[in-house]
Amino acid sequence: MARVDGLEVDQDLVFQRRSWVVQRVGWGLMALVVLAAVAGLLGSGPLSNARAEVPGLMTLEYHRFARFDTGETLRLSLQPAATAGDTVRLSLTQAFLGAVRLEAVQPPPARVEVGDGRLVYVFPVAEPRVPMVVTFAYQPREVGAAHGVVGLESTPEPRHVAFRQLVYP
Amino acid sequence: MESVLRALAIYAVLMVLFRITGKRSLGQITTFDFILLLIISEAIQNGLVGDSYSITNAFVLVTTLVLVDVGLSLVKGRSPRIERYLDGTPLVIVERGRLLRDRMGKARVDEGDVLNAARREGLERLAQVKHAVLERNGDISIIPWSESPGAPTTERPAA
Repeated sequence: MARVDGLEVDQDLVFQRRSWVVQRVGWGLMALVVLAAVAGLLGSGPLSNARAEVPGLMTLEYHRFARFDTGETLRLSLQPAATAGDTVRLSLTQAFLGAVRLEAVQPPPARVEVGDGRLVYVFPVAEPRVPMVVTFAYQPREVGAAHGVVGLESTPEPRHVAFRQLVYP
Repeated sequence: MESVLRALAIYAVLMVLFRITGKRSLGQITTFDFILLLIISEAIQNGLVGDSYSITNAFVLVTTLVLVDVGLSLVKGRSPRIERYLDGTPLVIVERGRLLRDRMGKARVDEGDVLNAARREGLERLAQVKHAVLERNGDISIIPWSESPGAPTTERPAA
């Protein structure tokens, strides 16, 4: 055991200095983590907000970065041109729906139809040509990259927007 | 971003709350104080965690809390003024053997607490206490009279 001036103590200054350096580096890393979290790289935040659109018809707002088991929403804003018919048909790929727990669709669709690799949500429209917002609330159930496609299938020609979401554990 | 804001808000609220509560709240912790702390942590938990039970959320929360703590300790090291606001100041409660009753009353420390601290120093009576200071962390530190005036028993008996 090392002795300092007769003091029986296990001092090791070389090791101590090394730990101080490691500590300071660690604080720097912690600051980076917090900054990344504030920016939205680890969940919600400015860098996480993303949108995909079909010009003149619909805009999809989603988060690039999500967390496992944590409430998320897909927000679809439909412009008047998209609600011209008497129903609005929106589809979502089943690959995406299988990776999440869908909690609510707002407004509730009148019915859901099964399509090829996708589900079609059908919304009757009371007055045509009004803007409409549909939200899908869900919780990611699979960690990793999730990929989905939202389709607007009530227009003469179906239009699609794709999105990607990274789900942290 | 939300997790960081939650952590900051909870840290600030608890900081202010416990600062207002005063030193005694954590200094001489009783069993009930301890239970109270556990209950407080339970009550705070939902506000802190929110609706996210992900590991990432926990990681960000803990990192933020610890980082704020490290940051504040660095700030305190640089600025005695800020340190005073955050940690308070030490308070002399026994001065040259005289109990300063008004201060002790305000700080919610009684003679028993001083005696308790004195006994931990191996002293037997209040008369052996020269100074007692209520420290910033709520501890009471005792400085005994060097040649204990009314207390010959502290001297090792001559063989």
